[in-house]
Amino acid sequence: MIRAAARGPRRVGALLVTLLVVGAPEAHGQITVGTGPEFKGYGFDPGLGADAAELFVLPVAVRVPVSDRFGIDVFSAWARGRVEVDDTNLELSGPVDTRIRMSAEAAPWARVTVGAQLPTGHASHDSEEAVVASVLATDLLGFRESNWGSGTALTTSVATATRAGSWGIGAAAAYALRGSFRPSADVDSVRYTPGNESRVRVGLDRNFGNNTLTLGGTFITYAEDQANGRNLFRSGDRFRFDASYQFRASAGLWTLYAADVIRSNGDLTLRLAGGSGGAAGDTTVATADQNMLVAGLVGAIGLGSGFVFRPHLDLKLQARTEPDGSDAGSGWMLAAGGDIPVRLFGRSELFPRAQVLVGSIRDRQGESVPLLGLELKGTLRWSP
Amino acid sequence: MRHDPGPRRTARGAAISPHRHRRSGRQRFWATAILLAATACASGVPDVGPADVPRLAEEASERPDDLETRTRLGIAQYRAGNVDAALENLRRAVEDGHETGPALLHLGLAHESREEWAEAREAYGRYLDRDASGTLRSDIENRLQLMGRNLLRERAREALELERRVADRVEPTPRSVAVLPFGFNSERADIEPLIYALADMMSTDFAVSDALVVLERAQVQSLLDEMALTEAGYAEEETGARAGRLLRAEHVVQGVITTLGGDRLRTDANVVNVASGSEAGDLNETAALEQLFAMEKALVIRTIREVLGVELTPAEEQAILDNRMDNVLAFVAYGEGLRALDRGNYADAEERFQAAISLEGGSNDMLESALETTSGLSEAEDTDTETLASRARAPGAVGGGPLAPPAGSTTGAEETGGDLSQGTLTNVTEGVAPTPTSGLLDLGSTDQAYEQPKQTGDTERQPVEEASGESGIVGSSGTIRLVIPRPGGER
Repeated sequence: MIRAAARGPRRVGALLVTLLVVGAPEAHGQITVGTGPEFKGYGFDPGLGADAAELFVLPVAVRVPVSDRFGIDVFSAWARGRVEVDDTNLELSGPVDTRIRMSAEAAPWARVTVGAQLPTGHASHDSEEAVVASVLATDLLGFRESNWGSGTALTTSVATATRAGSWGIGAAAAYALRGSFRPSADVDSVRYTPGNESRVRVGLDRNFGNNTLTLGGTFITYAEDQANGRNLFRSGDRFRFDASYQFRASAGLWTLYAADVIRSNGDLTLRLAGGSGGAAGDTTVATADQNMLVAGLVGAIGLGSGFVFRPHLDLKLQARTEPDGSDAGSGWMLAAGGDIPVRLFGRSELFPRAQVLVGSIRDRQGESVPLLGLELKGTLRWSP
Repeated sequence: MRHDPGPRRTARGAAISPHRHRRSGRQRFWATAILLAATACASGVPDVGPADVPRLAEEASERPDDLETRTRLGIAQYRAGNVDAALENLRRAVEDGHETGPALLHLGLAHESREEWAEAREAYGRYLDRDASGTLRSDIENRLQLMGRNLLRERAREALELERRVADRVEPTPRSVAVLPFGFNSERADIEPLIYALADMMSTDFAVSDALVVLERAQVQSLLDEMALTEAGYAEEETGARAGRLLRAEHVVQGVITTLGGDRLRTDANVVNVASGSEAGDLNETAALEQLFAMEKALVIRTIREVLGVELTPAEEQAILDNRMDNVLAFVAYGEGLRALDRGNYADAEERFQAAISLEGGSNDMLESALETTSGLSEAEDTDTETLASRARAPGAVGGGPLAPPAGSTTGAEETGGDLSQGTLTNVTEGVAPTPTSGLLDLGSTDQAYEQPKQTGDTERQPVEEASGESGIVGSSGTIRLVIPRPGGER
């Protein structure tokens, strides 16, 4: 872990510097760099598998608009996760995978995107780190990072849009090829290959005066994950429906949004060992299905002297059903907070943000366990 | 619909008579006859003249509350050339509720005679509000344009005068932007009018967003004219800062257009923060002449976002992108028209706008609006107040129709047209992109709200955690179906 943590940032830094150096002379527009510490932490009442969980991330993002029609985005981060279980601190830290996305406008009505995930992340976890990763993977908690790394991936997408009367209608399809990685630091021999991923989306937009309504529906399906070349797990299909309405009230811009992400149950295939040591057969284990509804409002309130407070209210409701009918893991989360952006000097801006989170999650006994969280961010955005 | 029974109609009706009962039978007869005649010819202006002044003055003295008589007296005094007295009586009549077409019209004429442009404009405006019909309506609409331009010049003079007298700075209007015509750094005199056309188009584009208060190009130009600046001075930063102070603008956008040989242009824009007198930011774009509109749009959108720190809604951005012309030569002709308009040469401006419309070859709201305005100004300039007053005496000139909404007002939500495909493309692209690069850079600007990242309700999966049934703080449970082969049997 320590080796990876030391090697990773150098690799990521070298990559970003290379991109900047190569991209800068060619850049058509302003290159933008964003970075800044982010902290999110929760305390849980007794009943769940952990007493506290927190994540500290130092992300770096670079955007290079090479031309009017072609741009490159790069993102990477260093992250440290901590989970407290029965007065024991478990940690997982290191760089995360680096993501590069190149987006080209092939025609005024078509856009092609090619993305790559470079395996710079700390993907191989020991048993303690695996506990941290699993706790941070709780969708309702909304941590930015949970697995640090999931191997190489190459993604492509094609999107097109047209106009029908007052409506803009778009459709897009994407496919992701996933490479393998070693998930366990303890068992060298296991190589895990997540299933390739297909996404299809239909989107609608309509302007009402200077306000814009956006609707969309996305379907995601996965091929089977493999462990050492053998089918292991097929993740459930996902459906995502979303709507947002962006409107102006005086000088402020407000957005009302809602999204519903439905995740069907997945199938885990287990091989049964026979008496002679060979395979006696396969069996299938269903995993939980899940439905998460998100709704919120983000906007701006002038404070005078050029300062603006941007409040943000966000409600998440998660319903999760285990194959045995248990609703453990279901819950809700209300987040309230905001940021006060500050222009520092030249083209640099600071976005300090704070958010308080309250909610509850059902434990295995069906009891709601309260939780309280805090999120602090200080993102610096700079255009050199 | 001439008969509106509502109270405002009653208050407006010229010969309609809150005071009829006070008159004698003979007077009542004539009053009724006049009322009918007036109604029949759509409430024409009372036919009174200088000779009627003594009689009407006596009647008004006897019946000080008779607002109709006071209005007639005011009109007669105006026609007698006694503008001050006319103004006094007409103002009193109107202020006391006698807002009839003839009263408001002559109040406007009297103010205009005294070069009180703001008051004249207000009276004409109220006349149009109250009086939907009448052949004089278009004359007054043209008049309003002329009053507006006169007023801008007057305010520019006042601002310069104030600058000389008052050392203290006046607080700028929050979020206000003024676009100065760009300086022109080229030998190509044929395209020099672009500096006016570009300033006009940029002002229109900045005004798309309600987050900005954009000063009219005509207002800016009036001030520059009063400052007696040559075109070479437009691009100087001190000019921008000074013009901004005088206009009470928070930011001033100015710049230079440079030809780079051939048909290539470079536009350097500079945004001045007026309060601090410092540069808020500078941007430049280079493009071929035929790409002029794309260059202007890029400059405007970047200025709004990167310098003024305002986030645009997709609809606003689309409206800016849609405001363009097809033909650059038409745009140059449009600039020539604006230059002629600024110089008060309305007939020439009209010709240039006609030429621009011909070159453009299709309908263009901006050109048609400019032509209409200029035609109105041209007509208004050719019509002095005396001519207008005499036209008002024609039957049916001053109408008595129902209340109309103010000219130019709109009802309901107007739908912004434009091609939505860019926003829709982003919608669907972000929705499927399985390589999210974080919303770290998509935080909007420092003084505006930002759109919630598209990945709200994340669809990214954590494969190992999910497959191991551990994707969550409570872990996961499952049912294992065991298949036990019979000894010797098939598996």
